Amino acid sequence: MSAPTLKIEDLKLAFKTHRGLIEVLHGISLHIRKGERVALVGESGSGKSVTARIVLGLLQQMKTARIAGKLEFEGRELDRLSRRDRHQLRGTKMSMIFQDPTSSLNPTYTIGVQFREVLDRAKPGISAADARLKAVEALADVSIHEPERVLDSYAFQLSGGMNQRVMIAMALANNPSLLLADEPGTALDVTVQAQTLRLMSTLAEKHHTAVLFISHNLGVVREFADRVYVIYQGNIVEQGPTGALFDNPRHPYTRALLAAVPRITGGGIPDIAETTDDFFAPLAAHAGFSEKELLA
Amino acid sequence: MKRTLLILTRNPLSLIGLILVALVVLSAVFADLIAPFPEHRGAVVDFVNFNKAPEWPYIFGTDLVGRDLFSRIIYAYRISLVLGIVVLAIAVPVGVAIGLIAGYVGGWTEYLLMRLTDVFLSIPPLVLAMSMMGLLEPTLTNGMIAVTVMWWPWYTRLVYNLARSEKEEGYVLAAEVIGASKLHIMFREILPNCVPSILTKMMLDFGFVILIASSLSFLGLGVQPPTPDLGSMVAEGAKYLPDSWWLTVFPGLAILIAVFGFNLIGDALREILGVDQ
Amino acid sequence: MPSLIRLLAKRLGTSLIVLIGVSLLIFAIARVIPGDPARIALGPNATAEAIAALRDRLHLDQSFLTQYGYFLADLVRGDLGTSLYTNRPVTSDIAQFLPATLELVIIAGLMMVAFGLPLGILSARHRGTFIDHAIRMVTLLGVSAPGFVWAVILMLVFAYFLPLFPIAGRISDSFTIPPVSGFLLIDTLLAGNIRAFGNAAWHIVLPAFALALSGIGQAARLVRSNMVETYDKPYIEMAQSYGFAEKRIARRYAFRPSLIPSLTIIGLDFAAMLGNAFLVEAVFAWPGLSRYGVAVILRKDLNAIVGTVLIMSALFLIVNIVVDLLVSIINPRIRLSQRAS
Repeated sequence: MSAPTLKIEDLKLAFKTHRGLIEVLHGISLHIRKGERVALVGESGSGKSVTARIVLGLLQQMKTARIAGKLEFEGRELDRLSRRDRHQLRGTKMSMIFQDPTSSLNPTYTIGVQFREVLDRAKPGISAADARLKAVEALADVSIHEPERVLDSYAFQLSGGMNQRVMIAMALANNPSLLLADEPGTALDVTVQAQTLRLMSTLAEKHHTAVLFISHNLGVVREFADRVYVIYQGNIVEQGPTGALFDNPRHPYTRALLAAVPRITGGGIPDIAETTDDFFAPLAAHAGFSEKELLA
Repeated sequence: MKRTLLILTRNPLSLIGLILVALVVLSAVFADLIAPFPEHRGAVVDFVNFNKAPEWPYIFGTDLVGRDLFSRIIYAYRISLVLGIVVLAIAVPVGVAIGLIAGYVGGWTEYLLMRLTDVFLSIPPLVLAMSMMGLLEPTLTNGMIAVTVMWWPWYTRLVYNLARSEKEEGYVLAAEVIGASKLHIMFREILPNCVPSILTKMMLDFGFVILIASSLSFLGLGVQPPTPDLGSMVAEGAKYLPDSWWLTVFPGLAILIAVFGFNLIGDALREILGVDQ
Repeated sequence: MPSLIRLLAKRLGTSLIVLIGVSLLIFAIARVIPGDPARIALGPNATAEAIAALRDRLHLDQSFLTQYGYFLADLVRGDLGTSLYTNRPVTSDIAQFLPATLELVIIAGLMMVAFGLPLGILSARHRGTFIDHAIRMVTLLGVSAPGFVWAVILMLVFAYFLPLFPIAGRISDSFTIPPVSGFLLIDTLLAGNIRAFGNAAWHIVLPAFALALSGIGQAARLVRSNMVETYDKPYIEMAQSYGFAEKRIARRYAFRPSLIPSLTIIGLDFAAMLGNAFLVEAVFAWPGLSRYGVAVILRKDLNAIVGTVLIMSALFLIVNIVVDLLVSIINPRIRLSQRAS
């Protein structure tokens, strides 16, 4: 079997503070294969967002971050790459979608200008006309009907849903092999969020892009992920195929998560009243879905 | 307060600021004990020791009539500090009250008060104080009046902007629903939330009041001789550059040190209290 | 761009109201102050008749509003009255001295932008490092002394100790340049005299830098703090996730959006130089408005004081309008909302 698109092995992260080291990730392992959609689920502060930032190499520039573990991208060990080669992957082979689409776009440039900057990563020196052509095409792919108007607009002139589509189009424009989606569209209302996620999912499938969904939203995970990793306080506590994991949760934390009554707004992770010792029970992997078995 | 002070002493920059300000304040307060020649603050003439380069016991040298510059600088600090305190003690309450009223009451009151503020703000700061000083007699009191008149609008503008955004906050709406009086809402609800910004600005301004006051007296529009004043010392000495360099350099550095000290603390306060510029 | 014209018209309108307010204020201050302006102007030895004549000429015996009415009527005709100090129309006095001051202020303003912005950007890009601390320290020093202190220090070091620059004046006496605009840097070029231009430029460096120092400090500090704040915005992380070059992110994603709030205040600091120029001119014997302004103030020359303050305020307001227009040009949010309304 070919190498997985992304393989994380025993990843540890700690931050240096004046009160000493604060450990955030205690050694997590996960992988995603080509075209696979994998979810990383957990509460806020569980360490899921930092994981994506480590993969991209964004956290590494923080002086206080201490990172250990092995990251492999398409069979290449990321830490062995030169700075330049590693930087070269960003925005070309891997890209990311953020929580709040509107504030993730530069307010002083039009969408068109920013689109060209993104395209320029894969094709340095791309002409304005070529970039525009490609951007129009990419926007049409995310079902934007007036791509020309959108390209000439600023983010604050467009709706959140529209900006989310723009972000998806940008993220997929360079045909990346890995898409990191960090709480995509959480800032949007529920129906718009579902719509744009469906779009993203379809497109990723079309492009054979591997997707790492980072979410606290069980509904979204259930609908869009093939496999799920549950993360709790910097440890993966359970992993398995989506259906099995939801129907038959093994780990006490996952069970508590699924059992808790969701709030009216729906979708969000329910408040879990108390932490019990059970939550720190060892990783529960569903049959045939441990890292070892999957990567064999 | 204690915590703030603790943080201030931890950061090397603000620690330097604290030390500088402490030096300035202590030397002003205990001028009578520190100054080697306390009588030199007035109209003393010593033609034996005039225009001397720095040498013991005149560590900063002497001026053209033989007075010890070091003693005069210390007494000038005393006057600068009093001036700073008086100016801010009047300008801040006035400016803050007008800003609160304009920002909270709105309507015609807001329009009139803010246009009035604009009028004061559209005369270049120094020019307003200068022309006031020109028309008044150049005394310390009038200097304070002139600087106060140019200073209050800045607090009005600061508090006005804060009050306008605080007005929309839940706690203000809640107080309105309960039926609290406008005065209560302005001074008991909104004002406490503006305090960090006001305090930070005051700390920075203390230095700038000293700076502006010295500028006025530099132009001959401030405190008159023989009262010691840093600005007029520089003006007097500038005529004798470069030979009698100490006449300008030491008073000039004295201004720099005092203002720099207050600015360092103000800067650190801004970070601690999380105040925007 | 009709939207910008509309904005300009609106700002000019409010500025006019404010300017009328300024004239009322300064006029009121001048008239309310104790003492007989006519007696002060003519000195202690003036005869009663002379004083009465001057009081009559200045309409001092009439009500405040009538006096202000006369003043406004004259003002509309471009007449600011006669200076009691020079015995010439205030407008021609100002016209004679203003260009030198403006030239100094403009060059200082250019220095403020040329040094202040890059320092601020550098500081923000290296926030938290030694470079940042050093720049913050130096720029804070810059704002911590009035222009005349810097003027004296710069003169002592770079004109006396190291004789790199001239000690005083606008241009060496050996050059005679026919005045056209009053701006020597322009007039020397118009006269085709490159050596004179170089000489004038050489003369303006120290005074302009002394005047600019606090502005440089303010601009750098402001740019830094607004930029550091912008570095926390989600679009910065987005730009980093796409692997844009650090320099590019600094320039297009951190600096440019942060420039909008910075620019307004930089404009204010620039305009404040009009007042601070007085301090620097005094040290470098720069033949601008300073000597005239201080002289008329000391002599309580009412017309000249009111006229000078009014012109200064008008310039101050003009600078602010220009800055507002610049801000709306770089800020699409304002530009587009103008178009929509």
